[in-house]
Amino acid sequence: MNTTTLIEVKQKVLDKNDHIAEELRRRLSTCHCTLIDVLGSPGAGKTTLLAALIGELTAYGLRIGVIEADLESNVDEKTIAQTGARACEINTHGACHVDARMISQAVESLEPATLDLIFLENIGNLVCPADFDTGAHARVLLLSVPEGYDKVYKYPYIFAQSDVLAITKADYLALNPDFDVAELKRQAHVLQPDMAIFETSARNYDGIEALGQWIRELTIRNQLS
Amino acid sequence: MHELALVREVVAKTLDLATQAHAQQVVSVTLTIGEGRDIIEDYFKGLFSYLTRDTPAEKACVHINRVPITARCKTCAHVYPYNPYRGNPETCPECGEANRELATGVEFTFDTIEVRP
Repeated sequence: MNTTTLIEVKQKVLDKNDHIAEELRRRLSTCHCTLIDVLGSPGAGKTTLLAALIGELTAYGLRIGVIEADLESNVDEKTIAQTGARACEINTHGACHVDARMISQAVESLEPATLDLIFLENIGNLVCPADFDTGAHARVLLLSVPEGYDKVYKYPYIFAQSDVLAITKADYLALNPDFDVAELKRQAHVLQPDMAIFETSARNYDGIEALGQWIRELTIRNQLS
Repeated sequence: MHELALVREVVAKTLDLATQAHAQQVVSVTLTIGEGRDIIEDYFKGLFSYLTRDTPAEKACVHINRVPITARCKTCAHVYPYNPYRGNPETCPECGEANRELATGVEFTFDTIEVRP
């Protein structure tokens, strides 16, 4: 038997994940809860920025939950729990990304109908998480000053996939004169013309109000729609 | 290890489709992967053979069509080759505007599967 059959498939490889992500986004919108995916390399300051944002946004009355995704450990969950936000931890045990199914289950455990906003702290990685839609309404990408400004063209896909760029640890700008903020902004806007860019320092509370306001506006738009 | 997560999805789809077609053997699969997706083809194919061992897709040939990255100008709709790793050209070669969106280059589709009954 040497005859073979060629079958046209024409499906997106990640269509199952995309479908689950779309369902989750719709379900969250229905219960007026906004999901924000927070991305960045290990040490970019994701957990620290979130702790500052939780303080800022809780003062406006927002009820916040956090999904902490890490390869292992619950270090970040404990840090977030100290802020008073509802936190849950997902361990991927070595996998470099989280997918929509994992996030969907974690979201349910946080009872989204009783929350206004859920942050997903994604795995620290600038490559793999970009491929997997997590069902978030927006993606916030962090780049810290110690990492260097020249990351846009090295990791174009994740920049093109993000709605917000938070330049974190901006208090280090004085120590790192090579960090060219203007060039970083220009390059980021080449890939993502609509990207909102904030310079933040969780230590000095710089830029936290401005980023917090952007997030509040997103949650309000989501509640009105 | 970026490819592993993606290849796992391809293998799962391959085996699903083989089952649906009541196939004894998968001869080949064809994928389209945009050049904006960071994958190394050799590594991708190697992982496919590894993950399909002892399945009907063992020894299947993986054909990958790469699609170049292009941008579509939001002002004049001109589509032009674009290199995001160099950030050029910075503006539309037709009208000079910088406002654009990616037109092609991030595809990731399963196009065909060739099976033996």
